[in-house]
Amino acid sequence: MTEVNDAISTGATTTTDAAAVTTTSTSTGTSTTTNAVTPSKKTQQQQQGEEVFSPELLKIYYDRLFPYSLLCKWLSYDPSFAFDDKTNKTVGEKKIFSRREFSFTLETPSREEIYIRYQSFSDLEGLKSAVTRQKPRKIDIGAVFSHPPKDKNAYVSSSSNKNTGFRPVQRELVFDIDLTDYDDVRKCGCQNAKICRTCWTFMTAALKVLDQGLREDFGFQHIAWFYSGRRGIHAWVCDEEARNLSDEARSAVANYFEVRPTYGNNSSGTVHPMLTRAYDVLEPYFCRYVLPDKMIGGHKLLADRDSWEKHVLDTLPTVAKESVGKRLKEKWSNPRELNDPSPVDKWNTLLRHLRVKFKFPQSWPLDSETLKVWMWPMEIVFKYTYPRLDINVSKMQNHLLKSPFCVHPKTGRVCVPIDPDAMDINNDFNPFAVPTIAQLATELNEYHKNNTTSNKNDDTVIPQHEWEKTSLKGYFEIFEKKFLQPLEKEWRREQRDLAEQQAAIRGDF
Amino acid sequence: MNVVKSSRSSNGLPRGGTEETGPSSAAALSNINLYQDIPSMEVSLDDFEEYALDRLKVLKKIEQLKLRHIAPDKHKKLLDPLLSKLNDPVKDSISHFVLRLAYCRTEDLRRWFLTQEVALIKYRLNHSKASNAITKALESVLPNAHVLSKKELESILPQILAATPSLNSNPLTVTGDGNNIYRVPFTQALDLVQHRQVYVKAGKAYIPESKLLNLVTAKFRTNLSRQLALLSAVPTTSSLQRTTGFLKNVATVHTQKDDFLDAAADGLKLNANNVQAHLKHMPLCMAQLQVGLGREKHLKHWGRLQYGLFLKGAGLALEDALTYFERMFVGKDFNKEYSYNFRHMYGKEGKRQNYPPYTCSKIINSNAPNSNEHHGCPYKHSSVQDVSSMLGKMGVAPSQQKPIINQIKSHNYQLACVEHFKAINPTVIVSENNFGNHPNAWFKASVKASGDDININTTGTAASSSAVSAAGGDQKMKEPISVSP
Repeated sequence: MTEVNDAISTGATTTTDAAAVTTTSTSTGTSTTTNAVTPSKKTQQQQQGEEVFSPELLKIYYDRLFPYSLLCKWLSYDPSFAFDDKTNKTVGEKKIFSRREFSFTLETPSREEIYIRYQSFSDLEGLKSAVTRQKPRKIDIGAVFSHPPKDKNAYVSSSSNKNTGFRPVQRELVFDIDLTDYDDVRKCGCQNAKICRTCWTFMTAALKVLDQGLREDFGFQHIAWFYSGRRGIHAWVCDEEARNLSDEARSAVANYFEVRPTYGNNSSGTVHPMLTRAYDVLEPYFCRYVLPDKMIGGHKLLADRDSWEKHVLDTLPTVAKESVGKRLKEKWSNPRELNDPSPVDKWNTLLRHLRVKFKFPQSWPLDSETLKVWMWPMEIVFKYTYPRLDINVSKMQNHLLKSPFCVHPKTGRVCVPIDPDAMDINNDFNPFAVPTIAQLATELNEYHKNNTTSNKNDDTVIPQHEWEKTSLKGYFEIFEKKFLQPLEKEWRREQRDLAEQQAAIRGDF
Repeated sequence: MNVVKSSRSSNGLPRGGTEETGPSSAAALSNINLYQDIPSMEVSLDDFEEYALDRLKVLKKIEQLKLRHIAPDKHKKLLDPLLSKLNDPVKDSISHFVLRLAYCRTEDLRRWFLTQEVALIKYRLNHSKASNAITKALESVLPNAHVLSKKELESILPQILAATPSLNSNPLTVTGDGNNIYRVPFTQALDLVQHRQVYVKAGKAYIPESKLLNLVTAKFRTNLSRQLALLSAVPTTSSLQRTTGFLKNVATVHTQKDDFLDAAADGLKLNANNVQAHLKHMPLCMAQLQVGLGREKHLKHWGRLQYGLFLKGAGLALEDALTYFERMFVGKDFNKEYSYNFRHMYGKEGKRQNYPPYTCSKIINSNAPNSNEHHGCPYKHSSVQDVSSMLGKMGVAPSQQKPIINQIKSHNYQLACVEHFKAINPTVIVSENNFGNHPNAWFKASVKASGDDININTTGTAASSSAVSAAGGDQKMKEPISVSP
């Protein structure tokens, strides 16, 4: 057992080595193949007796699967960035990348966590060797600073000035949404870190609203979404304008999207276009995933009497509660009703009743009670489905956020990219389908087993990256295609524009 | 600007108000000066000081009007006599820049100066006789603002109306006079954007003319704030040394000495075991943190900062703070996750800066707490019902709460806090400024008034003070004490 693990830890940096290792393990028998990558030391969480996270698994992931080139190309913001496989060297200016803060969470042999901030690497090789050597449980990414963070102490003095000393100069605009902030409306039974497919739809709805808002209202185009590995999602807005926003502007954007429970108190009868648009996005989610019974993946808001009375009808503004609310209570609880309306039917009936009974006020000033009735549907839909942001994460340039592509220690799942376009009301991102590092190790072994035992001299394309041999392929390729390539295209365009401008100045065309 | 030593009569140098002043001040005659140009002229030391003091009177009056919540319609009568002394554009400009020098030194001074100057600009723009003062000012600070043509406006009018309710009363005249819509980068209208008071599309904010004032003041604020920060980093040059003493004094005119932070000098000695016992001496913002800490065995980031620094200011040593919070954070890996945080507050980590406890204005104006956070000022951030029930728990009967609630309703958060103090210390005559500005001052005053000497091991005064405590016989008391019969 130990020998096999050692074998993996010594080799496994290039494709050929990895194949060799797999051959060794297959020779000892098929059953040990799986064991070789599923070390025996127990860690926090187990799935059906199988381990999802351990230092050994993490090593395999960092050595062979972590997409250093994707992460570094992205964070370079440099069109000339490339990784030359032949020379094993990064090409490009590395200007931005080398000033980026990385921080590692390490675990000591005594199981204590150590947090190391302000690390920076001049290039991909530097990052890779540090990661593979130290095998951090968690990697966080911070701001791009005025100087490489590892040299921070040389630039920080007691009288350091905000405008000249060591300081953050740019940073993606980031958002963090976490299901734990939805505990009071998760009626599926999940609390804290526990999640299920039903409550996960809150994340999908939140993503849709925020993604659309950032694109349409603020004009941002390069937005990368990631699964946090456990119970939430992260957004990285990477447009140059976004990266250069001041802390105040970050706060303003975050606050713009923040809806507080008291927003219903408006006397003008108008609703900001952003909120109207959010309602149009969220209402279908509300109908599909909040109203129906648990059986079909809902939070049963209108599926049982207790709930519709307490959580819906009783929350109506007083004038409506006494009229429409009272009537529907009687109607819906009437056991003689044969064609029992579905929760969505009930919702639509309720809306219709409200609109018929309470006409929108025609005279100024608007009657406040009637206005409350008009605002109520939005209020209840937003209460359940509007994005609940952890806005402190977004407010400051110098705030760390977990690095994409790293592994959540509690679940063993990889923080994979999420494609917003692939999601609609019926197609959700499935967090439970995201591979764990244990699963990935098995997949790697399977791949090599199949490719060594079968036709080796076949003209099958040899994958450039090891992750292409696993289920990470789909996630990473979409990231490349939908996020990285458009970003690169813009870098090139900027560079071309700059070159033309300079040519025009010099006068040679 | 150069400062010349000679007195005003003997030299023939140009003085403020004369025609020889530069083009920038000529422009200021017709427009409201946004102080984008540094005056370049010579000024006598006497004028230098006199102008600055005149301006300071204006700024202090502005602060007073706000703190006392004087109705805006009375501002003109109270402010204009003082303000008339700054009518001369040169004097206005010079006095502004002199106070910049005086108030750039510390974060607190900068914040104070910035707040008052912004309020002053706002007042001037609002009361300007020139009808186009605000648009003129906008042109000067934001030359690239684009005015929508009628055609551009047509397509997005519904959205603009929805986002900007104030236009609704008269939607038909939107394109008419005084109702132009300006398009600016959203970063120039952060305040309007973050409160969703304007339409935002593709990174641009659409601002109705009625809200331009907000834009101008925001831009003025950021410019001034940056200038002050830059100025603070400039070392004092020899040419400025003649004015250094004056500048220092000017800056301390409005600030009381923070003697309440010198906890040790007053025998205040909190330790890990008696924090809880001092709950009754804490203003509501800190009491709510203590109670939240006890209930949840945890405080979130801003809560830790606000409460940790407060306790530091109240005399809790670092070792005691670590012991205390570790004990309170039940079930948390305190050493790993939080001890750094507390050492940082005491200046033992990171920047090694000894952070001062938060002032009321910082607590009131900083970020509002989320639902599971306990920091902030309860008078501002909590509902009246919550404050009332908290006060009840702090021993303020509902019958005594009326003056407190009244102050909350008129948004006088600090005065509400003073009322709380009065309710539990009816015998102490309150001179408002003493502790309505700082939780630590409140705390100290309360401890003193009660006669609870924290450090029981001190000399005989402890024993005697407890004997006469009801009458407030503590010799060290600075406030006059009235003895109730």
